[in-house]
Amino acid sequence: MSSCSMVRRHAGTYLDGELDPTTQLEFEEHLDGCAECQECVAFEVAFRERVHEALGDVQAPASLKQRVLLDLDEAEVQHKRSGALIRIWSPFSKADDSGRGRFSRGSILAAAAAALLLFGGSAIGLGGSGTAGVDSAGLGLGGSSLLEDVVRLHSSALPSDVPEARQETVARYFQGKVRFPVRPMRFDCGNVRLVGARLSNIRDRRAAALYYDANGQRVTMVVLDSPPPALFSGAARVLARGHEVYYRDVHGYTVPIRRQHGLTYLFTGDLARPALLDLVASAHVGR
Amino acid sequence: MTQKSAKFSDAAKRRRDFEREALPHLDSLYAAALRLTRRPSDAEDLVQESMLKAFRFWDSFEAGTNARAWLLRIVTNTFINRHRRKARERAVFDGVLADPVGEGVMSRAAMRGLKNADSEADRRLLAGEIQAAMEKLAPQQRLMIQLSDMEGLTYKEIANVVGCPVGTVMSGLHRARKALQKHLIAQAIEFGLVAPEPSTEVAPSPVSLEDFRRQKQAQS
Repeated sequence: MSSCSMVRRHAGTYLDGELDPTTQLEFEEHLDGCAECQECVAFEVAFRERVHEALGDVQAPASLKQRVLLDLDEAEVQHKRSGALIRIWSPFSKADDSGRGRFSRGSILAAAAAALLLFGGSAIGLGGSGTAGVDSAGLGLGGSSLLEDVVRLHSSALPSDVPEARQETVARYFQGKVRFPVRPMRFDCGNVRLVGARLSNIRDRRAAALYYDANGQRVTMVVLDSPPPALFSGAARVLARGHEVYYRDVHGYTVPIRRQHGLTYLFTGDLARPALLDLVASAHVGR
Repeated sequence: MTQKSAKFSDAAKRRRDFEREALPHLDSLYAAALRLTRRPSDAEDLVQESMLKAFRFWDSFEAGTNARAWLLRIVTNTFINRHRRKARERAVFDGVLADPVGEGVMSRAAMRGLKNADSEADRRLLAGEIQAAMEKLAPQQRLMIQLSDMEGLTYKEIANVVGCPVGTVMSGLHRARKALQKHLIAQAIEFGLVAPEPSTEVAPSPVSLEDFRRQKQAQS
């Protein structure tokens, strides 16, 4: 025979259906003849109903599913690693493969020329004649007008919204202003400094714009949470620093695109394309 | 060429399987993450990171087993790892469980008062107080309540998710519920829902069922 205190103490486990069968029978026997314990169990039942009401059915925000799906896209892309990628010449990286510190003027020129040739459509790239090459593939897909906004944002060089451009200040500035956490990227190359940030609209969507200074030249990075799906499909792809970097050409600007942690990062800047791609390849989010 | 397309279809199948098995649990995972982190933005980050991990380790998921429990376990581990990285690690997770919980908090009048709180206003009041009391629990206890009361997981499944023995789940849930009830009764008295009355219950005895069985065997 179970005692009252035992039944009351384990009323929760009894209701969870986690007693062993023998003990459960004993509990039920006891409860049949004990009004006080019945009351305790009834209370536990009512209490659980209250907890159920209080906690409610939680639904994940729709944007979360979107972010997860984008993550999966990114993970798959990283997984594939096709061998058909073009390796780019890196203007910032140390001379790993050509002898430390012995960069002759000739070898730099040769590398630069090779890089330009490798970038398919080099004539178009040299001419800087605006929409051409990779760009034409993306027109009308919804992605390119978004990229035009990014380029416009960069070329208009609007002032920064934050007084001091520290990583934490900038991250905090965007809290509550955009629907996703903005973590300024860090770059493992050259001399790249965060110099400002601005809340902007890209295709009617709130986006975070971050301004960087790369060896004296302006670079703008735009962070978005849900880009149009067509963004990547027409983009060119290169391999730099072991990362795949996608980019598109818009109005003479190269716009590299990266995805990390479900967010999309669009870059553009006053640098030459190889330098910009290398810079973007070296970018990472510091946690 | 054929090899390449086979590889491609493998990847496509993997992705399809993952989306079919894992994505339907997003609400459950988010709810659990919300209990752990308490902040919606942190919960979203946690689920996002966990889903990416789950996708990477998808090959280690045994088809036919409980995908929800498997995913919940990844969420929990990711949460613990983050805390560990941050600073004072697992103590955050275990600490409050060690606190003793008094048994005799509930008088019969109090129980009746709470059980019969039928008006809409009373219920809303109680719901708010339960939420407030949840905040005070340890993350692990909030998670256990969520998994047991909302997700309907068994003790064994919860133990597997949290990474602790089944006995710890039982005592953890017991303590968590008693702590909620204790808070609730104090508030109910304050709001005049129930009259204050000295408790009649006493005598601490073992909480674990093993002890209970042992005691029973000793008696018989």
